[in-house]
Amino acid sequence: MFRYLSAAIVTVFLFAGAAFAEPMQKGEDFPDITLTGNQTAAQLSYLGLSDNGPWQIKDIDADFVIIEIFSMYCPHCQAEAPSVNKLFTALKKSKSNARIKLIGVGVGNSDFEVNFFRKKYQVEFPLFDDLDFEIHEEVGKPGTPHFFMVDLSEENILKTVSSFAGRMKDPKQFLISLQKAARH
Amino acid sequence: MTKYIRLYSLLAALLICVCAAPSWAKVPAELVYQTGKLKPVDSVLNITVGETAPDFALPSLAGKAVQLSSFHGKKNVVISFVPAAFTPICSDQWPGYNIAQDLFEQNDAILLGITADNIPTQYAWTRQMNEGGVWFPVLSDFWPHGKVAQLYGVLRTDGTTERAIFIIDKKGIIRYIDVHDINTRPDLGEIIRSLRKINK
Repeated sequence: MFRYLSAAIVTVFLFAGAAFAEPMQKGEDFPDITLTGNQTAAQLSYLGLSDNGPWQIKDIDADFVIIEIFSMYCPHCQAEAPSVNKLFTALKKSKSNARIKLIGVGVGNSDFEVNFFRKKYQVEFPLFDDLDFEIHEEVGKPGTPHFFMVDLSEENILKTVSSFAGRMKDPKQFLISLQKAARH
Repeated sequence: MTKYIRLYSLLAALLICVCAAPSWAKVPAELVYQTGKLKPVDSVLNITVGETAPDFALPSLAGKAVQLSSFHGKKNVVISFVPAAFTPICSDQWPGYNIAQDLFEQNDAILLGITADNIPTQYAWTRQMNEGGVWFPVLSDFWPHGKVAQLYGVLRTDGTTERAIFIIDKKGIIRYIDVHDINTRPDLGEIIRSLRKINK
């Protein structure tokens, strides 16, 4: 009896999910979003960027970029911050470091709010602001946190290779899954 | 007998799926609470910058009433009215203030969060924001409903309050008012800059 009711409940959620807006999914073209926000020389160097921006995502010197969509105000993003820092550390130590870069976009966050989040959680990887929700809109209004991995290796097209909603369970395992996605 | 249980379970599952699928089931519009885009501001302020802030005492989550005038001579007070518990923008406004405790303290300020919800609702809501609750006093303007919001002129016609910020200095004088568009969130930076200005 319980088995059947469980199946029914799962099915309800699957169907009900269709009512929500869909962020960019694996296989879809990813928009060439415009990035703004203060970056240190080290952060610019990490991404292979110069000047004071704004930059396009295509300007990043890498084959893939992981984008964390977050908000300073989101309690899940606050709780997730140490794990994302661990993801960055694991990425830096891995052989993929030159090919896969990590950035964050603070949706609805001002420069002040992004900087505050950066300082509060000692975030070393580059964070960009999106005060007017323009990037949020372009990438399909995901909830926060949401992780995209985008293939930048093609000349004229950006491809979504991974789209993950919510908090990761384990940063190292998460990185392995992203590295796996990058190989396909 | 087991066969019938299985059959009825499957039928029940099918029925639930049909009802849950948004593209199939037609839910009468009158049964769904549709706020749409709310009127940005739906009240008229009763106070202005430069006036003495009207005093009040409200019950708090901590169990004790909090009186505004008890901070006179001690702390700047930032009052944050938000419309209602468990609503999208409110639910990610106070968690931001919750991690900014240092910023408020550095500016010699206490934050008071007020909604017209009852205490149990506020309790459940703040626990959802953070396991241990929030560091600042959360006050309930539930009964008499919205009395303090009415006093300040931020009670909306639907019984919720505006998304409003009042900054009151140590002398009890109102130094900053932002009755914000209810559909958007005020910038934390603006609040901190205003506090720094007061402390200069």
